[in-house]
Amino acid sequence: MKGSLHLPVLAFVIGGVTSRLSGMDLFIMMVLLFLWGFFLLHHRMFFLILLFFLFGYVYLSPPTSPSILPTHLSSTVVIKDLEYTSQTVQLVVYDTQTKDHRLITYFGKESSALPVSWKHGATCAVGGEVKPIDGATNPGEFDYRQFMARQSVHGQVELSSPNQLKCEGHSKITHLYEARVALMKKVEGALSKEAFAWVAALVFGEQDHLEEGTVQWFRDFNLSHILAISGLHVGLFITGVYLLIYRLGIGTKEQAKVLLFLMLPMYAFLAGAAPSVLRASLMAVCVLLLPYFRLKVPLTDIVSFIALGLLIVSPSYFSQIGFQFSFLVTFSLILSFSVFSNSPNVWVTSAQISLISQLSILPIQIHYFYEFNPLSLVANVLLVPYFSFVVIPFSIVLVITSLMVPAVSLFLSASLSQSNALVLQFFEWGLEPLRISWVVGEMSPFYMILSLGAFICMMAMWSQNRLRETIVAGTGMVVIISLFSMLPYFSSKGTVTMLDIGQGDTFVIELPYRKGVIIVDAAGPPIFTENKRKTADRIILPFLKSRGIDTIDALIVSHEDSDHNGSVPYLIEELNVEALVVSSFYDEEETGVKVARMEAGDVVEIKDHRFEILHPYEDTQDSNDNSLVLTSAFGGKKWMFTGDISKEMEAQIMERYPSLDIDILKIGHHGSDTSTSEEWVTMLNPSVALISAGRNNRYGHPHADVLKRLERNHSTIYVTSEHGSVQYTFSGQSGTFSSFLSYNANRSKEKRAN
Amino acid sequence: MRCYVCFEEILPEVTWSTFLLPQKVKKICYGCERQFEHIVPACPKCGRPDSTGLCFDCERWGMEQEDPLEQNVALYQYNDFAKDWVARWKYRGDYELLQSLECQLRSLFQKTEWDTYALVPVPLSGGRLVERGFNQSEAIIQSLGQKSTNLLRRTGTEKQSKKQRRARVASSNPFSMIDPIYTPVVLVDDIYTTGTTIRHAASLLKQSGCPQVFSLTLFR
Repeated sequence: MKGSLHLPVLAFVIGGVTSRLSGMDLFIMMVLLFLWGFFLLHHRMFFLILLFFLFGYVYLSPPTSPSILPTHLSSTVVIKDLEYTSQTVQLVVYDTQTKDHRLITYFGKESSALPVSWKHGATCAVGGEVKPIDGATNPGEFDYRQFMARQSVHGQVELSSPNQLKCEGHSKITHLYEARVALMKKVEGALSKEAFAWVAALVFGEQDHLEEGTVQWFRDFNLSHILAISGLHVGLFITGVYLLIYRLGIGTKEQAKVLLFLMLPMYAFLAGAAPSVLRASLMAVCVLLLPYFRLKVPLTDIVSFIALGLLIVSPSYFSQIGFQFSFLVTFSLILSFSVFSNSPNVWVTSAQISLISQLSILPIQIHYFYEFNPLSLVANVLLVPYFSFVVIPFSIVLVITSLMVPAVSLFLSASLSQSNALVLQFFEWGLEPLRISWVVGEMSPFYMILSLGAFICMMAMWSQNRLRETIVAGTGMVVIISLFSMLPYFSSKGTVTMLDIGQGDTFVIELPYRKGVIIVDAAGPPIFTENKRKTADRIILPFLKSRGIDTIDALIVSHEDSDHNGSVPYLIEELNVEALVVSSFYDEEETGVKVARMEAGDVVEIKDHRFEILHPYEDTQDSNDNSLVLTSAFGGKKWMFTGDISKEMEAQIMERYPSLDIDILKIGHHGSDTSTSEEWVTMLNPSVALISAGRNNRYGHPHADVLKRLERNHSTIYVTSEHGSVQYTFSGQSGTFSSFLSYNANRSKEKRAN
Repeated sequence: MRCYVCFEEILPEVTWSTFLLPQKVKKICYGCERQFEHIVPACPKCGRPDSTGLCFDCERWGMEQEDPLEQNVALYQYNDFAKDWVARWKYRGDYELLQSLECQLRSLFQKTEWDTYALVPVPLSGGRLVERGFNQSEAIIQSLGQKSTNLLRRTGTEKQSKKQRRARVASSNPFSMIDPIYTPVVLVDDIYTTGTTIRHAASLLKQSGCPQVFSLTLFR
């Protein structure tokens, strides 16, 4: 058993993975599992391993969402402490009747205005309706509903006023939560704002105070593990306490150990108790405790035991990125000890640690984030020591001084954070050329398993010091990832995707064999939204990156309204946009991208694909009516993109092109009644009509009359607010439509009737 | 599982090459195993550790007449740790101690590609066999999972380990043949010091028609 505990735990985890696979991926997994089982057949733990696999398959399978949500909550208990974001306060309650968890969200910025009775463990009466949590409606988009469902939270209540949540009582650990908040408040008061932002992240595990740009910079260099409290921070804390007590002669080795044993749970709680913190603290406690029981246990057993324990207590950890990354990296590093023992010095070892850590999570990282920085190793080798030996120790010191001598700490923290800012500026400047990204796309489980296999081979060779084979297997891993990212270049399939970006238009065209990628319009968020990047960051860029796209051959912008061009600057900033195509009457801001100006009668060829411009003919003095109208053929069907033109412009076009026949029509102006006249529909006679409009938008788009006109023409109608994103996949002379959300025809008919 | 050498508990070493499959059970702990020193670089003939080319010893053996021995392969250097190990195993009769080196011995034997040759133990005199209880060479062959082919008999009773090099080299051949053999042979012994014992046996084998004689020892 000893030294083999990882086998059943691995089987347990693989069981959970297998329960999420289907089709070809499942088949390949089963083949691999049979092979593995064959090798283990004579192992004395064979049946235990098999049992754990089945246990994991059942216990870790994704929780099913209840089909019906209750409309109201009668009596609930707060089970998760309040979480503050920049605009909301959220808490999770336990519904005592249905024995389910619900999310409560209050959109209020003033945290001081909140009732003090909102506490962990309080019993609450909730006013307000239970609604489904918003899920993803586009490929590549983060699915918040699924994310919460995996934590067994189904449905949310949005409070319009804090009075809708009346609570009383608290739990036994409420005081601990309050003490933590009070401690943070005290530290915050004693430190400069910039210093506190770092201290909050590095000591208390709260990243919200750091600037978004800084967090993004760390993410771009695969350095997020520094900002999230992990084994590194816990290790530094332990070393610090140990050195302080033992080396300074305050106490004996044993006393230092006892103190650590008492302090670690407290530290883990203060640090936010994220999975990585729990993992590191529990491992440290085990390593401290085991000698007292005269037990010698390999680290692989300890880490396996902790993983198993955490997963059994809370199966929702299984789908948490932090949990996955933390345990994958730790397990990989423990298996690699023989590699480190061969390395000549500390620098090489730290580079090896960084490399192995990053490679071990690479397949999952690509699966979640679609991209990675292949040169991030350099940044890690430089910044990990800087944070380990300078920033994190100073952060801990600042917490202590701010509690003991607050008068000094303000001055101290200001100067420290200034010098830290300078050092980081220097790193930012020096590392800028390495700030690159390889956009691979949403890796499928098959390729993840393949690349993980190559990684294991590589490490097996490396730990036997067979360097040539190591390089071969490592190259194999790169080849597998490259192969995956090149798949679209071998595919005869092209796509046209109408993204569900709310109220606005965004179409992405991928030509067959990835000959080119063309975007027609890039909507921004509604004008009153504070975060102008929201649509680009949450929908358009994740979609493009999930498809492995980082170059746009042409960005066609119909006209200058933010629901058509609001995300253009952010696409230009994040991607290689080769050219902008706009109408002759478009006032665009200087972006540094080549601009092609078009008007009626022009033809534009983008990567050998032809677009004909039918409009505008002249400057109409109205941005909507100046919209570019273009036609093109995809999969043997004639498409027309109409921007926001009105009925008058439609009449003009019909006059000038009396024999127009269109198969797939993007309905003008999101289905407004000011567009899409009866004559227009009759003449174009589209078989499919595409409408991009926001859910419950305040303009009432799409207008019932427009829908009626289209229905009378027997056009199939796709509306983003009902279908989510709509994708047309074509090959040769044929193509098919599919929608992201399953289409409920009855429901939408009902809606229209209302 | 406890270490056969130091009796401390052995922690199984889980690495990338072993973590998915059942582990081979080693009977020696990492700490003890590390105290044995590997032989690199070595004399291509006898495996002497401090030499890169043919060592002086082997050169001397070949000077007067043709060296009867093709090649000796040894597992570890005969350092102080190895001396203690041998003393415990051979002289104090801790027969099972050999299992602590079984894995390493087997993988060394695999690398030699001698598995088709006859494995010939160096015999003990009757008195010494009674005194010791086992023949160390036969024990090694057994732990390799092979069959030993007894071709030699010891007539002299002198103990090599109590003598200096000069006296050893000059000593008379203590062996005599039981059966002649006409295929290559691997002589197995525990220690190769000067190579006298092995060469005595080897020359006898060659005289009676054996084409090639190799030797395998635990230590050199």
